[in-house]
Amino acid sequence: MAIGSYALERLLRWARAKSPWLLHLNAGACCNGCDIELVAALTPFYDVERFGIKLVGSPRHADILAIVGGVNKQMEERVRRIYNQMPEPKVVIAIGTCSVDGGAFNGAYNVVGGVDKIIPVDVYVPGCPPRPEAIIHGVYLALRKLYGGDFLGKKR
Amino acid sequence: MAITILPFGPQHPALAEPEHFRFKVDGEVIVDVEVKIGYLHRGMEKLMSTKTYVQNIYMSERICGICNVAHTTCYVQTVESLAGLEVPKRAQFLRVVVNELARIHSHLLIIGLAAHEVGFETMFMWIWRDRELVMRLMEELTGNRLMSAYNTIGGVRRDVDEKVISALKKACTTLRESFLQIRKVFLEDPLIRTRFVNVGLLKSRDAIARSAVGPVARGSGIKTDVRADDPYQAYKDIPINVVTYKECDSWARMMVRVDEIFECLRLIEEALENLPSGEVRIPVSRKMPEGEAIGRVEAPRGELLYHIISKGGEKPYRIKIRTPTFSNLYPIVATFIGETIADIPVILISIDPCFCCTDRMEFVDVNSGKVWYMSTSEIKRKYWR
Amino acid sequence: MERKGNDLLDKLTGIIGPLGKVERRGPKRYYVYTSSENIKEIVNKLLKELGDCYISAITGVELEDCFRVYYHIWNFTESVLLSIITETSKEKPEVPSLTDIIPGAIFHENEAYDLLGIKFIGHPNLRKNFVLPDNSPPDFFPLRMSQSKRGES
Repeated sequence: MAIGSYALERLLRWARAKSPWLLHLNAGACCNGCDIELVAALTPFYDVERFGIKLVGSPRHADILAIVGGVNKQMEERVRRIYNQMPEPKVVIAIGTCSVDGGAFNGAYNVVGGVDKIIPVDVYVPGCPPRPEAIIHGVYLALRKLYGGDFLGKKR
Repeated sequence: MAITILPFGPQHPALAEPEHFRFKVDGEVIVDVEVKIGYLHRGMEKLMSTKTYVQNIYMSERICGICNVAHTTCYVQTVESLAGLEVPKRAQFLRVVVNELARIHSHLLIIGLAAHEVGFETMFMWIWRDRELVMRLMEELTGNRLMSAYNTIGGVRRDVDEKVISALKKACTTLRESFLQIRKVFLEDPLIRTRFVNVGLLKSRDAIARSAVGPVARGSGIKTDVRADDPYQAYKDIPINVVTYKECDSWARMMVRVDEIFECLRLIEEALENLPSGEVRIPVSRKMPEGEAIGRVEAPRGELLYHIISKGGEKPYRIKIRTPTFSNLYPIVATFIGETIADIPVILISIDPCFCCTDRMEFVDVNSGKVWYMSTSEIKRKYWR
Repeated sequence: MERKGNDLLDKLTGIIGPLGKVERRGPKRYYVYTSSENIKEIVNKLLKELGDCYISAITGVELEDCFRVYYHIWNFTESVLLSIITETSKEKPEVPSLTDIIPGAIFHENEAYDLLGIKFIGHPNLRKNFVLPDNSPPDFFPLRMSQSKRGES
């Protein structure tokens, strides 16, 4: 469909940025701290749902993959598989120091290291654990990437 | 009907770490369960034996982010008994305050998630709003929301001032009113009662034989609590009431947690009321003597045990950590048998698993060998009536 | 409630008798040194004379010349933690399983087998790679001293 394909593309981009679905994955070498801070970001005090973000259970439905924790040997293959199951376009957020580079667990026998050793990462959110505000900022950066520019009113 | 294998996990829902269960189901009814743990295995015990005692405070904190205060308390207490140290009284009382605050936050978290599991979203949001108040108190008291690093060998890192004490006391009053409402919902709400009552029965005899700990054991009517049986820190000076329920089902296990929150509030108020004056920290040598020590702490999920073997020097020779969920897993695995697929999330959440793997499941049909996936939300949709 | 230290020590020594040596290691902490063939008998006697017990943890540790296994058992009636200690050779690390007396030991024993390679005789389902990744080799025991920090031997 040649006519209107630009308009259609713009519409799709707008729709994606306004209702991104987020999959939360714990990659193994994690202590849970970032998990609960991510959930706290979804609850009334911080509320990322005002960006239209919804937590989903299946990688097939997700636009954003939020990974917490470094990757351990048991989850290595599973992280790759879950990433491959997600439809394009997809954005990966690495939340917490462990998922950025392995953090405190570097050197343990069952730990591979940061998430970017396994799959490409778009946004890094450091912190141990990062505050919900930092996670929301990370999500915002991911949305910008998904939209291809600043979607909060400014021109691209 | 043919028996179907239903693998459960390793990827999961709102909260949670990956874990894998393999349910054999006959139609809707579970006939056998097999567990594969270790999706979160990092090799902490080995890693901790290569680090010094001071570094290990931070490592023990990162075993579990939710009960990090219980982990550091237990680690620090074990090292102190290894070295034969007596911690200042004020520090002991402050440890009680921070432990109970962490227990409230952990219990609220799991009660909220339990409401979320049965589809009671309003309750989930409501509880997590109150939990945020507790997190702010933690931040005011320790300097961080979650990973507080409050305990250290020989005492605690920060003293409290009048401002923090009055903020804590004020918050206790507000929280108590709010929790009375939550308790009322758990006692009376038909949605909660239909999903929780008589689901996942664990008889007292079985709970003892299968070595259940913490709220799981207390929900089966066993009066066991490390704070009462084997008092540590200032629990020697503040007597606690052990909450038990005799119903033995998932509802009883949740009610133990709901009632314990009131007990936590009372303990915080009492500890702040009787807070002794003086030092909060004593200087400690980096090197520890040769020997062994066992420390036990009542973490939010049950008994936590550290066993440290030292051969002298700056580093421990071996640290054994037994976390409560590891103990509670086997008792609960047996209670799945005879229940239906729709009850799996409820039973799992009722042990407050430090992993809760409830999001995606893989279904294998034995006859055709076909595998398909299903998320908890889909299961909810499909099986809810 | 715990009685006076020596009182309970005498009682425990009376129960265990010649099967092992009881030692007091602090408030509510008792060590019982024994050899591996006596463990089951000791636990049976403790259950009979003292009442309900649950298994709190099993520690396995590699020393210079042997493996040492600690069975930490908590008793409800006396409120006391008994650590039953036994040693086994490095060439053939084998100790009896407690699963037929206290079924709750099943996961603890499996973990000790997985990480240290101590065999529990009589365990119904001793699996390798219980906590370790599925693809780790069957002779990989990370907590042994011969294994380096990173896991390469």
